[in-house]
Amino acid sequence: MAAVTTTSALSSNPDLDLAQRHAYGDATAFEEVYQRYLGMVYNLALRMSGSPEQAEDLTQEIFIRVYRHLARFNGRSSLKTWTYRVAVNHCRSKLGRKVWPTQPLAEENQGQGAHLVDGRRGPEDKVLAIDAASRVGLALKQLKPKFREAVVLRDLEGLTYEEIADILKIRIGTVRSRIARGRDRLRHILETSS
Amino acid sequence: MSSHASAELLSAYLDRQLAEQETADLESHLDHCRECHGRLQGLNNVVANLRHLERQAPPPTLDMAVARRIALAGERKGTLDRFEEGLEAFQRRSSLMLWFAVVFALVLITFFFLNTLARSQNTTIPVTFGDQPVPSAPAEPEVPEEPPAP
Repeated sequence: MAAVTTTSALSSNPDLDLAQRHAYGDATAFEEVYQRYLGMVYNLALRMSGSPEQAEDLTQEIFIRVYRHLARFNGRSSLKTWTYRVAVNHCRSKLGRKVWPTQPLAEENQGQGAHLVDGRRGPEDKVLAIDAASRVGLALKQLKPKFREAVVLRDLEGLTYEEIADILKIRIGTVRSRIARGRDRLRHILETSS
Repeated sequence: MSSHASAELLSAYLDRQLAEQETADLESHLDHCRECHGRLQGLNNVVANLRHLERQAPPPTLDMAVARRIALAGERKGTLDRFEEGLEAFQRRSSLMLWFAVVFALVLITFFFLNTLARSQNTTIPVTFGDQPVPSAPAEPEVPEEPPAP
């Protein structure tokens, strides 16, 4: 542990410090990464796959990859961006060309599917909100993966265009275009379905 | 702006990604174009609905599942480490043999090289049997040409 302390003292980047601690066998380092990014990874996997069961499997696999490769993290991007990249790449490789199943809306609402949060709404408003959200969730599944991941990262994860460009390794102009096309496709699907 | 605004322009406008002049041009267009205004509203609804989707709490069973898989991955890593250690020890022990093999290979290569060189410089090597050179085979007698038939 003395080596860990020495390395930690030398590193000025907390993310890099965490990776170095992991490389030196400090088990608490990975635990910290896991606790910090579990919600983020799970929700990303959930929105990318559209299924809670699949999201659970994907989350496990993503964290195995994080565990294996964390020691190689070099601090060029933030650990958050790096973890997002690992997660997106894994989702892409697992779900890449999959044809999305069209789940019944009611099932999604009963389980861990999408629903809106607004405690001030009345029962009728809540029903409408749940309907709107589930329709958006369903429409999201119909997008091409490259548009879906851009829209999810922007509108659900709230990342900036720069962060998305860094995660997906594409130019900002391409990010802008993918977000726009994804949103426009969603608008079209929702308007047609209603 | 004479034609309708593109989806990319409207989407970037919602994200405040446009330059000042672009924003001003688009806003003046939206003032009199109902179609673009409607599309902007539609995109805005999509974004609002997406941003209001509730974040889900990961299932509590996930922690245990990840811990189990990490432990398995650690065991596999341990096996791999042991294999690598064994390989290193073998390499250390066999380094002397390796050097011997290299020297032997060099000797062989040199021998074949010199042999090939000698053959190319002296293609007819005189063969001796004791002190006496081995006589070469007698040349065949010349056959006189037959005169042409009358």
